[in-house]
Amino acid sequence: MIFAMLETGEGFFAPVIFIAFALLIGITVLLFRSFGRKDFVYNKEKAAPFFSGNSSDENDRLKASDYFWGFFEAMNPYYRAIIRMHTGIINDYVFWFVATATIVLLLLFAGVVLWA
Amino acid sequence: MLLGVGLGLFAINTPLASFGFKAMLGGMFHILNHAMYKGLLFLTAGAVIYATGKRNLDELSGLARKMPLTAIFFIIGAAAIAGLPPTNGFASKFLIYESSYMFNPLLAAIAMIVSVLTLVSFIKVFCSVFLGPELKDLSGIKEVPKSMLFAMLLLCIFIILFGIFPDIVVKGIVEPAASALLNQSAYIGAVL
Repeated sequence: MIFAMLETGEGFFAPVIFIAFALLIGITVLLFRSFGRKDFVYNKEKAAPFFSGNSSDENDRLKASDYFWGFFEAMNPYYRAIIRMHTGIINDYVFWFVATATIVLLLLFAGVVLWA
Repeated sequence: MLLGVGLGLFAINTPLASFGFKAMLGGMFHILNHAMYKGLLFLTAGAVIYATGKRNLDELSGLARKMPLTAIFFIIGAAAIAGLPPTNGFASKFLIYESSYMFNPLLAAIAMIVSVLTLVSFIKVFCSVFLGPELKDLSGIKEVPKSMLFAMLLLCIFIILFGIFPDIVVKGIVEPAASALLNQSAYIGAVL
């Protein structure tokens, strides 16, 4: 039972074996780490964050709205289009729901027809 | 959830009925799992609001130092919602992905991309709220009361147990429910 697998019909997943491997990798990493320098002394100065060579204060922090800035800039045309679609009119949302459901159903039909 | 249960209902009396049943198992298992990890994430959000009195992510930083347990519970909830093994979210998503792939690989690909984007969004939340420098106006906060921590811990235990032993849950709870949904005459007979 301990090695019981989750059968998916096409494959399987054995969580206990997954965890055993994760532990094995963790132990290996710690083993490599133990070969490191023994004379290293940790102190806060060594690990202090810095910004372009200057010490950093709390104003330099990344705010939530700064995260993935480059991604949002690169995807700007996509986001502009998506925001334009959000009109706030329920009829529009129902249209998108029906349209998406139709596409998914067509994909499913295609899959079943190809299989048959 | 919709993909899994929808595939199951769609595939009745088709050549892919066995995969449809697996998809339905995944969908129903995911409903169960979703209630747990989304509940946990709401509780962690509530704990942050309770401790700081703030709702704006931009005004939060470095909370893991003051609220380490809440941070750990958030990581577990985020891992589960993003479908990372060995949490329960992975087990149910894995069932859905593998079975929906048999219908159309595009469906599985879209579902996986959505999971990756979910992970990205939760990394943003975790890094901005729990990591980073400590803010001066948040220096006085402390971990939430034990009763709140206990509720989160309970959900975490179930999330991990359901992730490590998904086969027991699927065979014991989900499979009978899925069979009842597909075999409606037996269900109606039992009720009447």
